[in-house]
Order: sequence, then structure tokens, then C-alpha cells
Amino acid sequence: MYQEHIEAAETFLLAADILSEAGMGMIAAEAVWGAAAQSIWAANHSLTPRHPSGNRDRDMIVSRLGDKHGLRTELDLGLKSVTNELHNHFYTGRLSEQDLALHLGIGGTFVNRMIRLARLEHSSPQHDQPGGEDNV
Amino acid sequence: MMTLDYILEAHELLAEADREFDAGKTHEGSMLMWKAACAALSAVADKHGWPRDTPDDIKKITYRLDNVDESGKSPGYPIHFASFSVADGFREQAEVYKYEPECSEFVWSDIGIEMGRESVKEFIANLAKLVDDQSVSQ
Repeated sequence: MYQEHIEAAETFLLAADILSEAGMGMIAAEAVWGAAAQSIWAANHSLTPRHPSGNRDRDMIVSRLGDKHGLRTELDLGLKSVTNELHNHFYTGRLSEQDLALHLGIGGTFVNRMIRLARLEHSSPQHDQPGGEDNV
Repeated sequence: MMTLDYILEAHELLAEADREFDAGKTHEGSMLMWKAACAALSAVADKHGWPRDTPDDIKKITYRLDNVDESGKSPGYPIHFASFSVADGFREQAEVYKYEPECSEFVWSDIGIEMGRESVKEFIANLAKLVDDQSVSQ
């Protein structure tokens, strides 16, 4: 499933660019949210076979990757931009055009970083070792 | 209040926030994180003579720092805006989701709160450094 998650993340991100260019910001915001979720799942696939669920699993995956690669703050800013702002905008449309453009950029940067980290994790020798509950 | 007093206030609010989080008072701690970020941004605004009276004024300080244009484009990664958004997220956790816990999708986990606290502390440290650097150069 690792490769499918990577491809889904890249496809969502491409769709977000197209939707944003077409002035469909609300849907673009949700596409970046989808891309972020897929990229996190791709990274997680290399850590444990268990599928993540819920905010805490997602936060733990990002936190661990941030610690491991010295990107804790960068990943936190990106994740919160996606989850608090872009995903929320899909429901509420609350972001101004200026803020939406900024968050789409921040979210896109986050997804690209997560895809690179997922590939790094996948290419490391220990990626296919079995993981337990602690490895979420 | 003078520019450096705002930085001092930010550090005091951060220390108070730490005590609230340590006592398990998440919403109180979250609101203090937001106030601390606002105090540090006020220091920058004060230094430059920028407006800082409304929440929108406070947000626009980050636009200025990141050189954001009217269309929302920034020449680099808008680190101040992104960090401000995390601080504003703390305000929202305290003001909104305290009363709407059913919005679990947007309620931060303990790990999310911990990461956010670190991000806001780094943000405030960077703003304090910015004020300090500007003090030296002026």
C-alpha cells in the first residue's frame, strides 16, 4: 500500500493546484488535506503495518518523523496548517483568499516533505520489520 | 509599555502557560500561549510603529515580516504566518472547542498540544531575537 499512498498524495496535490488555479479554493483546501493524510499514511506504512486512525495516531507519526529528522517544528506548522485551517475551511469557508493562498502553500510544502520522508523511511533497511502498538 | 516589556510579558505568559499545562488545565494554558504570541508580536509592531490594536492588525504583522503580497504570495516560506496560525489555533482550542468538544476532528491530541507548545515557544524566541537584533542595529 506504500506506493498507492504516495501516488494518491501526489495526485491530490496536483488536483489541488488545478482546483486552486480554477478558483475552487474550498475544494483545493480539502485536496491538500487528502494529500497530507495519504503522505502520512505512506510514511506510517514503513513504520508499522497497522493503519493509523484518529488525530493522536496522526500526530504521533508526524512527531516521531520530526524528531528523527530534526524537522519537528517545520512538520508541526505544516500539519496544523492543513488540519486546523485547510480542512476546517472545507466546512466553513472561513479563510480569506489571502490566507487561503498562504495555507495552500504551507500545506503543499508539508505534503512534499512528508512524501520525501516516507521515501526515506521506505528505503531504510529496517522499514519492513514488524512493528507493534508502540510503533504507530 | 516599551518594546522590550512586551517580550518580558511574553516570557511571563509562557511560564504561566507551562504551569497551567503542568496542572492539567489545557484550555487555560492554551489561551496563555495565544496571549504570549500576541505580546511578542506587539513588541515587533511597537518597534516598527505598526498597528496592533485588533486581531487582524496582529495577523498582518506576520504578513509584513514574511513580505506577503495582496494575493497571498510570499517570496519564501511564510514562517511567521504559519507560526502565528499555530498560536491562533491555541486560542481556538481554548475559546471554541472547550465548548464544542464534539468537534473532535479539530480538537488537538496531547501530542499535538505538545508539538504546538514547542512551535509557539520557538516563534516567540525568534520574535524576541528579531526585536533584539533590531535594537542593536538602530
